[in-house]
Amino acid sequence: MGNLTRREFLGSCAMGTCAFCMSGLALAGEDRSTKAPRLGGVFYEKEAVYYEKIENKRVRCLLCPNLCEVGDQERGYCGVRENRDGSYYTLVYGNPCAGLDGGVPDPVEKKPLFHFLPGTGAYSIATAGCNVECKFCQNWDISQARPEQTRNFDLPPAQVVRRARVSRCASVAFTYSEPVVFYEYMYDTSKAARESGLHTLMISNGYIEPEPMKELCKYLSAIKIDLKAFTESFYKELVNGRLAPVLETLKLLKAEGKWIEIVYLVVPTHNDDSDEIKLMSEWVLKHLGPDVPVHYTCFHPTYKLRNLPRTPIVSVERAREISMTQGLRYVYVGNVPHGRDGHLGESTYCHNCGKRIVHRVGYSIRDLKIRSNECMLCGTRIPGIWL
Amino acid sequence: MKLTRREFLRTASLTAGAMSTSSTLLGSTLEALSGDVTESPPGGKSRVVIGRCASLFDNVRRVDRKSANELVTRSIQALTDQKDSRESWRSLFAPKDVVGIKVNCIGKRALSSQVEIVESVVEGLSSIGVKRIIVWDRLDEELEAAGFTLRTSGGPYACFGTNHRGVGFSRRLLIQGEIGSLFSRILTEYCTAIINVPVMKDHDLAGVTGAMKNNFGVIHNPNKYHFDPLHRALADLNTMDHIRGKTRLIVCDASRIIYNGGPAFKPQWTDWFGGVVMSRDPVATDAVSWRMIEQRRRTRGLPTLTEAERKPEYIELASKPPYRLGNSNESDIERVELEL
Repeated sequence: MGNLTRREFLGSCAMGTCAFCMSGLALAGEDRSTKAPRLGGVFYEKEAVYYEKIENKRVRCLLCPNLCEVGDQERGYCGVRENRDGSYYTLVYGNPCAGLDGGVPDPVEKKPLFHFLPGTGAYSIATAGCNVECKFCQNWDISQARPEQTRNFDLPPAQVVRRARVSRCASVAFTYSEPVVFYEYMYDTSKAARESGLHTLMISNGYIEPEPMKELCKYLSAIKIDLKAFTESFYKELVNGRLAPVLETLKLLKAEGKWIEIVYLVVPTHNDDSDEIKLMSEWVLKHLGPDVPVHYTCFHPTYKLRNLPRTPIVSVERAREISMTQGLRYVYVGNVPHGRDGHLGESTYCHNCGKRIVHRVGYSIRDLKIRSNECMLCGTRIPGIWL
Repeated sequence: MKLTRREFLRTASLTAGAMSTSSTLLGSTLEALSGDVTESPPGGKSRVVIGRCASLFDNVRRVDRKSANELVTRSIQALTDQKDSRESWRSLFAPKDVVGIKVNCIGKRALSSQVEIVESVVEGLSSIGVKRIIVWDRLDEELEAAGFTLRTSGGPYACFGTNHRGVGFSRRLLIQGEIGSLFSRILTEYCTAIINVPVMKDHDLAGVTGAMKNNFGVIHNPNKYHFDPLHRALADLNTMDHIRGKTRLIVCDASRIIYNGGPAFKPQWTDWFGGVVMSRDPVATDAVSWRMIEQRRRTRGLPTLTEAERKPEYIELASKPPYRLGNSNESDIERVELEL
């Protein structure tokens, strides 16, 4: 994309907003061939790509580190893959469940991705299911559900791409629940999106086996990884997963040259210890480098973790300070009250001159001082993918 | 097919009526059953009836309706020590009850709760004037594949899945130990009493699937508990008030027993036993089912479930504090064997 003037940029933001509002109308007469959405609708059946057959019609899923061994007629831990007579099927291909029409045009800042085409829209889709179970999941109504319990839409990859374009989104985002569990759908949609000039974003817990992740990288533009904590005990007790595979995924993404941002949800008393934050920051610095943005966001009580207060703002501010002291250059806070002028930790500051170069208030961009990937004030290259 | 507003309101008002009057109407019944019918009196034995009928299958292995009826009738008489089957049913249910018969239909027609056995249970309930009977499982599609006819009105019983339009799960997440789930509204809102009709099967993860594990079909997220910590989750699930407090009878379908390769139908490891296992104690039912499965494994030279690293630990766990859901020790179980 070429450089935008300030006038063009603001114009595009306004157009984008209008497009978000109008997308429902614009699409009203379009998808007549698709079936009506319905609770539990499963419109396609597709054999899974990553699995192997074992004895007595059992299968072993090779998609994520759970490596579920699944008996005939049973499902994996994710709840969206089923063994049918010894073959493994995904039940969510082409069956997203988000929004009013299967997808939602979101600001990319909501993902959050702060160094990726700021102010643009990301057409966001999700299906039922997740391969972990965070006790604090904010989208548990779809992530911890099976496809027969969600209102599903008939939206094959080509339709997703068409809707993203009609909505004037710059990218398609796989988000809300856990895209690893709808891998085949994400893969085909990513391929179609990239071929039509759109970007693709994976918003994930990073709990995936290396081979499928590497294969998917061919068609991904950027990835946001939820690093839930930096201890195995947290992952075991509150996530029902493991930390080590997530760290391996981060290293793999870095090696593949993909743009990564990390979100760390600060859960009071569980993962907010200063030493843990420091260790995590050191790890990021050592293995991913100083330019990978880290977002510290506030927890609020939900799902199975309701006995804790919301994260105090000072906790995320302290975490931000620790990471910056360790040498990380772009560290943010999220889920914080932003007032009229935004929270200081929501905006981007040039790591060289220290001046504010992206002024954010919530999900909106008030000012952007990056041109040709450089700080307009001092000319330093700013890491990320910019307009 | 969808529940009409009229049907829904009728069900709801009947359910509400049944719930509000249940304490008086069922007072004597519940008192006679020590309040919580699934819990055996301390120190008491749990009776488990193993009924078997030589003529249950016809020559193409279809279940004979008349034989199924006799099997169920004689078994409930033996369980309740009554000569009149209506007295047997009356000792457990009242006419005003809304009785949910929770079947297991994952194995389609070949290996689901058999329609003929379920309809024999319906007949027993109808004989004492129970009018509101719902045969249910997770999905409409599974019920149909198992040979049931979906209906919300007409006929001697209603039949629909939790996914039936207008039904669904309770909105409130219920948490108990390992379990944090939404529960089928059929269990939590429609029914005042439950008859659990599982199928006797080997299970690739739990070792045995029977009465307790059939209740995975009442929650929205069973996949989250099929792996570690499966056994604790099963005990926790069966401790939930809606399950423990409402379950009054277990009729385990042992018309065929899958003793290896379950839970799907595996003809090479199927014993066409032709029976049912009936009890009011889910733990004792599962303990007896385990022994019956082990016996068949031994006869066929298969390793024990413990050797196969699939010991159904939840059975013993559920019998111990803090659960105390029933008896698992052989010495605490009174086995009654019937041959018809």
